[in-house]
Amino acid sequence: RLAERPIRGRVLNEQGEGMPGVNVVVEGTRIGTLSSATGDFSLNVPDSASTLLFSYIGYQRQTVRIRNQNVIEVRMVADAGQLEEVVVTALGVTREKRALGYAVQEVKGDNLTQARETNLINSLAGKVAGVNVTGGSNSIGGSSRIVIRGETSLAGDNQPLFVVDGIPINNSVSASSQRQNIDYGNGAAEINPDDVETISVLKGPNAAALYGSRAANGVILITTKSGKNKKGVGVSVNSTTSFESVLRLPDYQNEYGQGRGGQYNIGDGGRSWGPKLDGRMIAVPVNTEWPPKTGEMVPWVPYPDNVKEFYEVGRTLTNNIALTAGNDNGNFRLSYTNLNQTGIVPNTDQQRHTASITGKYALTNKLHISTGVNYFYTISNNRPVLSYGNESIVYTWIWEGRQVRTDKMRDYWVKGLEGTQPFTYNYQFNDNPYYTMYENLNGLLRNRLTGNITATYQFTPELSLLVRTGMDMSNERADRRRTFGSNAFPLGMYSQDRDYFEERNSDFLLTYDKTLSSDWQFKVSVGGNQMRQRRDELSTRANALSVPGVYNLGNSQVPLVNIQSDSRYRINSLYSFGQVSYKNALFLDLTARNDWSSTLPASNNSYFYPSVATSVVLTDLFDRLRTQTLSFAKLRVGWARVGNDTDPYRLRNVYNYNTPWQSNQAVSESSVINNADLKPESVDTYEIGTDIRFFNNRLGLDVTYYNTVSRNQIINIPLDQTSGYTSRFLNAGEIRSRGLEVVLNATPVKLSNGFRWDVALNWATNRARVVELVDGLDTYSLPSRYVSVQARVGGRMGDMYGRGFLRDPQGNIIHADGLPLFTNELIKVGNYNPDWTGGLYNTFTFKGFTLGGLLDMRKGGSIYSYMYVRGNEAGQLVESLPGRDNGYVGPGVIRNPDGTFRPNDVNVTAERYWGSGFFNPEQATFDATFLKLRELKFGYQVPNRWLTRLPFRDVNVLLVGRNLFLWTKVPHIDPDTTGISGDTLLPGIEDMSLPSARSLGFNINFRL
Amino acid sequence: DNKFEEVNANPNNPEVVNPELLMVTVIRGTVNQMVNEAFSTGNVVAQYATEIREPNTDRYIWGSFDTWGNGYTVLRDVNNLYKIAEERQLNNYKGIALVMKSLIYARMTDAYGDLPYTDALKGKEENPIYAPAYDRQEVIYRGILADLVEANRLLSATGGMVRSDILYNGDITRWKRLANSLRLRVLVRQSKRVDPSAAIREILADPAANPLILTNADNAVLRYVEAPNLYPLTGQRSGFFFDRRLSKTLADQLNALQDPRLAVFAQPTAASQDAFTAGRGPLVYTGVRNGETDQNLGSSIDRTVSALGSSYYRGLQVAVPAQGLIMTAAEVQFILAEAAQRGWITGNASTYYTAGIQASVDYYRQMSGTNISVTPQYLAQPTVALTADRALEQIATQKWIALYFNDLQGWHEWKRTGFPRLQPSFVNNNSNRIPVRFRYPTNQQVTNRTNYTEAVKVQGPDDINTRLWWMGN
Repeated sequence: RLAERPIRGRVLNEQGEGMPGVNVVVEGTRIGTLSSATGDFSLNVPDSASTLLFSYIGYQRQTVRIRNQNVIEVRMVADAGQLEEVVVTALGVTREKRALGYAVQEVKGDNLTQARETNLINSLAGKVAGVNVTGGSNSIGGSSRIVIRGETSLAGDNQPLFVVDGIPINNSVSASSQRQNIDYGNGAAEINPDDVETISVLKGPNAAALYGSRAANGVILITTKSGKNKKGVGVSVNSTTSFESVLRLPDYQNEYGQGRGGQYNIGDGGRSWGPKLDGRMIAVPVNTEWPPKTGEMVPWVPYPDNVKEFYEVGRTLTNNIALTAGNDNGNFRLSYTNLNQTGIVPNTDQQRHTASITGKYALTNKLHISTGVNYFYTISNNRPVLSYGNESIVYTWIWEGRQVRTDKMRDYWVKGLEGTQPFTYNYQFNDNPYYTMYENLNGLLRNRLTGNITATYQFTPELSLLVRTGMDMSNERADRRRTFGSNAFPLGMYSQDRDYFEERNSDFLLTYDKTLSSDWQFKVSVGGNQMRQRRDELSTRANALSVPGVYNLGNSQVPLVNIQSDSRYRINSLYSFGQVSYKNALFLDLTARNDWSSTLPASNNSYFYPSVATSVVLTDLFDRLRTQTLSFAKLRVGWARVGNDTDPYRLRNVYNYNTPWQSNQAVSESSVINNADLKPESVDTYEIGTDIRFFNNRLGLDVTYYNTVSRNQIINIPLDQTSGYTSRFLNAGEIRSRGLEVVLNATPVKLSNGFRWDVALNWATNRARVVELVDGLDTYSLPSRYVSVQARVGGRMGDMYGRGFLRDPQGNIIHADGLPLFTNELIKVGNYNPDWTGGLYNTFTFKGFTLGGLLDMRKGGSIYSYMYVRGNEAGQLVESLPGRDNGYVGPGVIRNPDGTFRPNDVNVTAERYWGSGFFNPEQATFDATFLKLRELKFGYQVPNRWLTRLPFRDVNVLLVGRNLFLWTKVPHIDPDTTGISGDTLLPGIEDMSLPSARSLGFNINFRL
Repeated sequence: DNKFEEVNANPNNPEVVNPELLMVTVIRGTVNQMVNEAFSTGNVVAQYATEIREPNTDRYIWGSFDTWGNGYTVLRDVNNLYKIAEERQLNNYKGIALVMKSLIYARMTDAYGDLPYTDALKGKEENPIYAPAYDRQEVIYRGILADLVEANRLLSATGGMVRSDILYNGDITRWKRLANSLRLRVLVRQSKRVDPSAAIREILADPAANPLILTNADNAVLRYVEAPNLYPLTGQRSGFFFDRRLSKTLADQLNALQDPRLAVFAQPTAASQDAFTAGRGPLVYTGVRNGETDQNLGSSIDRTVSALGSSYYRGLQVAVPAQGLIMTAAEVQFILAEAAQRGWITGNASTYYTAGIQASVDYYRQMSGTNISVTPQYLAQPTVALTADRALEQIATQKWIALYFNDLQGWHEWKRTGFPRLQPSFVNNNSNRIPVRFRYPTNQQVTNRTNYTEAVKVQGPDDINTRLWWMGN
């Protein structure tokens, strides 16, 4: 037996603090240990041992000659080239990026807290290749849509899974769909950027396989800040003040006023086909009398800025204070953030209070407990109503003439009829927009709690067990209040929606981590998870009130309408994953998971799926590859399958409740045929990628190609209505999605005087095609409005169909009776998915100054603009001007009796031409290409040496802006928008979206 | 895993229901649609009313309308009602299901022509049919007639109690009256193709077994109650209602006849009301030409053109007396008048005709509470008093007046008889032809393309001018 001797020592980080968890190995043997929570280690080494190896993810490997020392102190140095390469992967496992066989991209918390968004998802726009973020309806507190690597699901929403500190959280859209929509935001919007350490985007099923069913569209993994590595008490403060203004308004015509047939009329629905706004005197109701006094004469002139005057400057104040403390045994962080926002739409607001506490404590050397709790309190006094209809102010401004004076509408009650009759310019359809915003309120109150408790026990240096439970619970109440006198609810209305949601996840993970030799490492884990979800929704509405202004369900004049929906959902899972690595340069990962879902029939509710991934660091494996030019090269290949279940209650048919007739209850059978034989879905992905660095890491290129095939999708295929049913659930379809992602990082200039220019470029393209649907069906309709979004076999996901122009063989538009003819059949008018997306981030730093700007570009893709259609029908937009005085002869042809064509020569009024349905989906669908200056910041880091007499440290002052500039050929609107229907966001549709906002402000952050 | 099945059992909705729970759905679902369509389309194309804003209907820029979607949606529950009744041997519910089925199919085929019928509604059968073939209109008519005979047979005092009957409050005899009256309507509608005389005589031969709607008390009309079951138009904003105005065609006709019903059908012009109030003139009812140009409509229409009657709209969610018309005694009388005039039955056409006018005016008096009546002078007018050579036109014209706001019936009767002699909308996009059918819904080209294509091949182009089978050659 060889002689041994004890060696002890301490591992320190760069700050000189003890560093736990560092791997200590005797070179050339399997003898090793991990440093303790205090950084101390001890082990017995053979006499023959000469060298100790210290390794830790993200740090340079240290080699220490033992010589005669008995006590060794070693200082670990962060590996500059490696530091950003440590990423959080599935189940919260921190890993070296080099080891990953799939693409993961990370965004640091600092990038979210300066030029900030109130919806976290919007902060990701342009920052991650393959991640496509679309602004929603631009409502304050509203939702955004995020799609990773294109759409592969016909039935689902294609949204990724959000996981915070290991616990999945709810990202569903909360929206009220009674009559017109109100957007209360998507779940992930609330995550507080100040509490985010990193966001890891696991793009494909490979990365996400361990999260199971719900990760088929990728995972956004959020790790919150902790007090780790911070000794003593630290206080940090981050404060942002910004002002929002309208980025873009439609191009209104300013030549003709309200009316029709060239004559003024108040009762015509607000069309702007009236007399020329030439200053003539005209009798219009401008005062606040009821019925409107028509005798008063006013000059008939346009008010070109009447819409602009209506919108206000919004203000967003965000203040965060965070307290951290730690010692050798543990640490904690306490953070409070206050968001206080007023919108660009008058009388809209949002306040959000977020409190977060995280802590970790080593109860013993082996037992560590940690917890993180986030509490969100969101309250809005009023949020705007969306979509087309007279509760929306965007709608209102389409049907208010160009002669309307905004200032005259501020005092909206008719004298003597306060509380019941508002003044407006159009009594038959429109409400006064100020009245709408100040009297008809849509409030929200949401309490939400997310959090987890985790315990880890280190049985031996190799064997550890993690047990965790966590939840996301929210309780929401949304009130709609309608005073007397609106067009929609002349007798007032009050409704209350209550939504309770909870999801609990409990899991365990047993890990065996073994260093076989300095070359071979091996790790295997076995885990299990149980997910329990519960959602209880109750909506009650009084469609008319007895007493104006009393918003209580007891004040109803008519029977209350109640809708209740409860649902339960459960998934049990077991999984295992393993890694083998050789020389820290060759890696093999395997995962396997089995799920049991409550939503599938008993015979099909268990499903298994594996994944495999490899990574080869060529420059490490073959030393001679590493040159002055080539600093790093890695190849990765992976394959994964993810199974998927469906929503609850899709197995058996039921009857739905209808409005009763007095005491006679009424039901009708659901028009959807449910299916008791559903099977799980599957998504297979191959991905191959490379990560190459040049010039001592000054230039890095990361390229990924992937191919995803999703099969057996559980879709609700439309049936011919004559079958008695409108759709049925079945497993069908195959979608093949391919894409390329490029991430380029470069430091083109780095001068010795400290000047530095960094460039980060993200670029991605994706094509998802429909390979197969189901026998006898070549078209599947997806949720949409105004246009038909169809998955057709051979077509691309996102194809938009609608009626187009009837054309002669030369492509001229065929006219009849002076008007263009439309096709009977639907033609393809566009595709809402972009050809490619790109983000370019430039940062310049010099002596404490930083200038950074993010350009976000979306090339191609289509948007259908309902503003264009109705705005022109109303005669409000510039396109409707030609032919106002002398009539219009549409460019195109007329069909001769013999079938030939001659040029159109029929003159019709402009009102008839533009105002009666000229604008079909073909005409109203535009190339949605846009370029946005998404983010701009200019900051200065005050040198700490100037602050020696002050309590402040690390003071950073920034001017920040978001969405400062938009370039697009789409008329009138910001194409970065979606429609909304129920709780589904409808991409490719602009449906009277509120104008998007430009934001400008300043940020200051410092430590105490 | 049993627990999982428990978790996934829908706690919100029942899987099995009693038949009466479907009655409101089936009756209200059909009649509301009839009212809405009468307002938006039927009144316009039959020129009772005209459209003064975005006049797509008047310009004959027609989509496919929702007769189809509503029809098949309600038929799903009609089918469920029939099946549940059959399972539980409840003949009266079965009979009611057949009456509703006949009513709905007749509505649809009269608008579209050929339809999925034999193979329809089989999406959940053991051997499901997801894309049903179309049947010719004559096949559908045969089916409807057979169902109505069967319904009349099933409906009986011993057929079991009927609950939640919002049309007839469980009165089975009245359901029999509706079944037989509908049968008359259908027989006459197809009379250019199939001689109806034997069948009509058979019905009239045994009034006890085949009762008809002969008095207003037996009218098949849905009497709306309080919110949320108000007359369907009350759910609309005022601008929506005032977008439809009195048509010149109806105004001229009724003004010429000094017809008392005009006071119910329409409101005097605002200008004449003001003058009347000031004692400066009579109440005037003025209509607008269908498809009038925008320039001619001008800005004064609110003052100078009659709105539709205040019995039909008084503001959003304000109760009105108007009822949902399925079939009235007046129509039955006019059917019999025509049958007598054409010699299909024996009897005096004039008697039936006068009874029809009487029933119609009486109905509108009772409905609106307006004090109107038929005077001998009215009946004696040469345009009203039946003369042999113009009798068919006179019957058809009075029937047209009586079918105001009744589904699309006025239009269908015009298609059959050519009366009244309507002029196409002044400005229209249909080469100066009044449409005779609805287009099939565009989704037929997606979800039922093969059968759709075949149907178009058989029936003719899927456009608004293709003639229906019962219109004859």
